[in-house]
Amino acid sequence: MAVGQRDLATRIDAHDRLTAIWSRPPGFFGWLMGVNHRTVGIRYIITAFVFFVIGGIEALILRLQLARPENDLLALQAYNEIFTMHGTTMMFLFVVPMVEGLAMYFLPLMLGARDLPYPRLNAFGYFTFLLGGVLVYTSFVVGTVPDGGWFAYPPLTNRDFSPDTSMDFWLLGVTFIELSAISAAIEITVGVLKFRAPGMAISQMPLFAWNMLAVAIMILLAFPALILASTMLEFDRAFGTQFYNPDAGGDPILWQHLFWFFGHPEVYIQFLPSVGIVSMIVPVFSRRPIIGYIGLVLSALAVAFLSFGLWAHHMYATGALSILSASFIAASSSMIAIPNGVQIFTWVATIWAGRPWLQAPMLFVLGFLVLFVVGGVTGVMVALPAFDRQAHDTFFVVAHFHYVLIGGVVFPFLAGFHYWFPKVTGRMLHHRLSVATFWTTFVGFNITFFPMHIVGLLGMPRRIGIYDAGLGWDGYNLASTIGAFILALGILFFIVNVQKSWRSGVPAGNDPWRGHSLEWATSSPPDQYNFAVIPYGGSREPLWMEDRGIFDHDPEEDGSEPLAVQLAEPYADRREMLVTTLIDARPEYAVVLPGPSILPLLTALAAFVVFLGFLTTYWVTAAGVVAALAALIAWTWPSEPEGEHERPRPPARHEGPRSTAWWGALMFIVFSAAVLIPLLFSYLQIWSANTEWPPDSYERPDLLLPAISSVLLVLSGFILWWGNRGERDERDSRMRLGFSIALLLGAAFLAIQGWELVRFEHPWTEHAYTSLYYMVVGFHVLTVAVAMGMALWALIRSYLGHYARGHRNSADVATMFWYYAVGGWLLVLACAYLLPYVGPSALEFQL
Amino acid sequence: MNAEATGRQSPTRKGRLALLVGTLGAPATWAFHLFMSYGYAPATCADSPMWGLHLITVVSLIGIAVAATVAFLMWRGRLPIQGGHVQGVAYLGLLGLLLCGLFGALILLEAWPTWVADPCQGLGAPVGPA
Repeated sequence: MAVGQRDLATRIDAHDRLTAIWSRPPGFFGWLMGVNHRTVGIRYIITAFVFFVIGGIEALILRLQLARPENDLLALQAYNEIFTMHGTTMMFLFVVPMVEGLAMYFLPLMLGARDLPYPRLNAFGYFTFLLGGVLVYTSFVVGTVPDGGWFAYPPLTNRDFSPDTSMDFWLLGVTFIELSAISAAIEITVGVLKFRAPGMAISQMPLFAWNMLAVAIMILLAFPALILASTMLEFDRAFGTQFYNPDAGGDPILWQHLFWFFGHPEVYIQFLPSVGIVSMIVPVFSRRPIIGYIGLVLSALAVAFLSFGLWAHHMYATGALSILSASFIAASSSMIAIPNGVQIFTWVATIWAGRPWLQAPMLFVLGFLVLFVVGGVTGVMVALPAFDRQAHDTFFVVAHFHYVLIGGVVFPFLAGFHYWFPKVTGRMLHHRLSVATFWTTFVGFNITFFPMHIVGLLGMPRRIGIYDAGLGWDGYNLASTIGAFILALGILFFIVNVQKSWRSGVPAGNDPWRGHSLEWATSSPPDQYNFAVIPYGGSREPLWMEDRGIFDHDPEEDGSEPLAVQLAEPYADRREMLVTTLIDARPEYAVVLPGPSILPLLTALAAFVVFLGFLTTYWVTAAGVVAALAALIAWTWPSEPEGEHERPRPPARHEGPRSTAWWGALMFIVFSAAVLIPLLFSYLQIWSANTEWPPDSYERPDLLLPAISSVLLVLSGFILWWGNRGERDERDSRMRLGFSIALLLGAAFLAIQGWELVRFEHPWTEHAYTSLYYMVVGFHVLTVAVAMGMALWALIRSYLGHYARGHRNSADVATMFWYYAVGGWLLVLACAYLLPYVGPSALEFQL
Repeated sequence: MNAEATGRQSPTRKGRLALLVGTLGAPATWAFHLFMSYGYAPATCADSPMWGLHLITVVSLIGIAVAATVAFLMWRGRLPIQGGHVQGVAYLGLLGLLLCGLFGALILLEAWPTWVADPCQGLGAPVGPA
């Protein structure tokens, strides 16, 4: 017998209680405390859209300048600044935050969840995005606007050629914004893995969730490379380190490696969510299930991996690659057309086999299919070194990536906005205005960007603010400018449509499109808690199941009410969510989520102050570090035992992979490793670029003290393992002893390595060798310090009696991070201490 | 019905390893092939032997074969990862098998130039617009 919705009176009572529990406090202060996924998601979407409009206005100014030859509308310096800010805004402040916003808002609804696993981290991420965007745009106020292009290549962006603070604004702002992406990625990954509706096995997940899972993991692996690269460039500028200075052993090509190791996956980080959106829309408006579900999942995974093998195709023209090295990259770059082709054929097949319903979302999808194919074909062309070296840095490349990023990303976004607008607002968008939006944007887009292919092949370089008449470029440029204004008109139609429809659109009902996924199973707009009874997700199109109601759950074997239904009755007035197993989404236990708090905002503000210090005085940075630490301690302070307010039945077990905290910690380790590995790569890259290593004036490092500290650290790992096993067996004294000894050994490691850094007589400004030594060793000493902080936290919780059977997250997480710190140190040891004994690489071609 | 009640077990440590190898073994092996080949290629222009690159390819193909075997066994339900046949595990097995095909082909594609390209020939200076 199925267990369905409860009787009406119980449901009304439950609704009132759940609403009270899931609402934020009233007033402005309460608004600042909001952590609900829909609150944070809509903030991301609106803020990102505002940046989109700003970036669009910048694009129009650029097009006006290029409308005719020898134009003097803009000074060339202003042109440089505006194209830099246009690219920066669209790449960092619009697309990725918009992706995050859409995922924040819709993923939990699609998964049948009430929220994402770490709501406060969510809110923190939004505030860092907002503050980072404000920081970048403050450069306009102070009159030093970044002008080094959105990819900020040194030496153009080092202190010699950009002596004012313009690039500092860029580097600090972008790094700060990346923190937001990292926090969102952790949130999304764990949410998709552990917060799925019962029955939603990994083979039944919505395709948007599959694609967002791939994107989140890509963010975790790719963005740290940029965080590292921009930190090193900022250190070069602020402190005089030599990472990118070839006169002192550094290598500007290193920036390109790191930047494009981030930058190329970034393109697919922006594109894959669009694949997810389109894959959700096409079945609904073709009125049939998607054809080739596994092909789309395969494509998402293949693209996610392949995108990390393409970075060097942006560097064919540097001259640093041999034909052999370039051929590896060209092979991967060409291969990515296969999964992208699978996606296109899958959608076309579904539309072909279905009964297409040409509503506004579907129009934008069809537009996307056309534009993305054009962008994809030119992508394969520039993947080949022979062609790329002809077209490199011409307008052909500008045309290519706008077909990919507007055709392949903005059109699906517009499709998604039209599709989900009724869910968010409860009202329909005005159909005729939507159709006008589509045709205006589609026509305007093609008039703008198609001529750029031709003018690029005619030899017009990108990033030039002025050109001579008579080169054959004039007409194409004028057409592009006219097209840009038509495109802008389309976006204006959309804004007017949203504004009017939000206030007075036709009421939409819960499911105006007869959708198939779980977000359409709740009200429009959804209740604060999304679902009282957690829905059943055991189908790829759960709302199209004919044999089973969406809220029908099988009873437990003992006849008791299933957990998904129990959650309709709040327990201890806490925000609860069902945790399910990773592969087949069987219910495990109900986890309690944190509620509204001002701490995410305070922590983001404190971190912001740290970054501001680089633009003002380092005392401000020091004050920010203290404030950020205080905010973090307040945020994570263990005020009550683990699992204090959880339902007693079924007993929750926050251990290992069952626990959301364990997964969060694992993602944090992935992020940390994704910083460490590019850092070690930087060492190898600079080593390979030098003919003497270490340079003549330096002695090889002494190995005695590092060997001792390494032995101590490895030993501490074993002792911590022994202590944690004690906690697992509920032997508190053994855990405390093990953790205490490990902490002492860790402190000894820090003391020895700290002494090593102090006694190294050469300043880090002297040569790339010294800069790298301090950076690599210093970074990992910091990592060990973080591991010690986590172990200390776990120890304090043990003394406070916060562990019980099945509740020992802190100890598990601390142990896991400690293992990572030990393993990472061994790599650092090999690189910073042993490689100087190998000597210079003396290679003809660099890595 | 919660996880405790179904009788299915959580994957053991070996089971988790099999899941990882079967599902992600192929892309991981390709990443090994690409980064090792890319890193070693400049050395072949100095004094390192070309067969080093071929060795990397052979090792990678063996890695793909292992991943494909595990993925096949997952797909056919012959690995008791969760105490029996589980739809999600079989699905991941099939996915892993398809990934093995794609990335195995890519490894062969990347290996081809190691037989024909001169490791000391550079792309040269750019010839784009001045």
